[in-house]
Amino acid sequence: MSLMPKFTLLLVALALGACRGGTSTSPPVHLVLDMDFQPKLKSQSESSFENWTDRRSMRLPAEGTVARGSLPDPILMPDPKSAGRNPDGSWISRNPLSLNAETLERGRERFDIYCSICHGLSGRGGNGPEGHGLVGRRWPVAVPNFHAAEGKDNRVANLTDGEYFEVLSSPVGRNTMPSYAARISVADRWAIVHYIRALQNLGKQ
Amino acid sequence: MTVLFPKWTNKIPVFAALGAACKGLVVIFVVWFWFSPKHIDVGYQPEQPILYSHKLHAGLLGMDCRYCHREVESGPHATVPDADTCMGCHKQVKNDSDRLTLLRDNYGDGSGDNIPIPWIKVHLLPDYAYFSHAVHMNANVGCTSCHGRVDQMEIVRQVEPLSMGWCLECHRAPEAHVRPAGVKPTDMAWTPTEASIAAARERLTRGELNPPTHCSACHR
Repeated sequence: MSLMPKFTLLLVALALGACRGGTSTSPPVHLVLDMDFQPKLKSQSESSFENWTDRRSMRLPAEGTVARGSLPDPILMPDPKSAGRNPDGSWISRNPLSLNAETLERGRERFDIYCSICHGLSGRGGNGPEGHGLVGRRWPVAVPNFHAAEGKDNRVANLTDGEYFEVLSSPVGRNTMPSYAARISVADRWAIVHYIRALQNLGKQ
Repeated sequence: MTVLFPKWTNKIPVFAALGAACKGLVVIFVVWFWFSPKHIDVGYQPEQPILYSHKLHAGLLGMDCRYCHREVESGPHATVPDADTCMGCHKQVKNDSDRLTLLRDNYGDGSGDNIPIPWIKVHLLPDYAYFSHAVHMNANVGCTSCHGRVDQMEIVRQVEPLSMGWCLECHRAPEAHVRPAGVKPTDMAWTPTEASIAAARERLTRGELNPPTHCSACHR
């Protein structure tokens, strides 16, 4: 008998037996390349140009560059050099972002993404078994509480709107808190301040 | 008279024809089955320079994807976080872990070689396809639709073929992947319900949702 049918059977068995799309650590091999992989530089890719010693294909802008449309908003940032303060140096006492359902919802969403990790969804912070955030519950990191505790002097619960904004805008963060200046936009920071106030009002009830 | 060709040799042409036909079928099958992105691209799980676990961060700790992938709502790329984002927590949490040696070296005090952590990109689209994360996030398409249950992956791997046919399948009938307002796109456990499919269908008929299927939507 010809070997051909046996060979065919073997191939079919191999094809059905082996697993398709199994995991592999080597990059996918495209048999027909078309122009799938082009030598151009893409976002966050590595460059082999030897003069760029940091190997980034995304070059840093010249120092002091201000991107189009990112000049400090005079209402949200009256003093562009000192976040959260009025030009006369006093703290902004009233959140300049208008309060409506949309901004409050935006504030809730941003708070849940960035703040709740340590301060908890309720803003009660803390650590140990009583901790409200996922970091505080597991690791002994001091996390402030936004709510005024009875019989205790809680500085963080009594800050002005401008001071909350300043902490969110600080390029170095505050105490154990990292900086969120690059991660949360100016308008979103004020939206978060609105949401902190909403949480505090809920906590009083 | 000696028989030069025994009787069975009469069947050779038949066998040859059958064999050729089978071979043709096998070739077609192999190309269709094995050369497909469902085999070639699915399952790519490169070894990353730092043994980072999405299962721990996104799964067990339940962090929102956007905490680290912060450009996902505003730009085409979800962006891999910089060392500063990692160190925001890891200055205090597990700051002596051996797994974070490369991160600490990279972050340092600015005296290092300033080379970003060489994370390896997992989801490789062809370079002539222009995908935007922001558009999909704003339509409330969940992360899991393309990336699978990343919160259950120790090391991230590609689970969907990300081929053009696969993209078009969803662009032609996206109901099961569009989430209703109020459901986070980053909610990993969400699955479509009859109500969510009906709501998405209504948005499609009203024209609020209009996934393009023309060439220049992705190729420009």
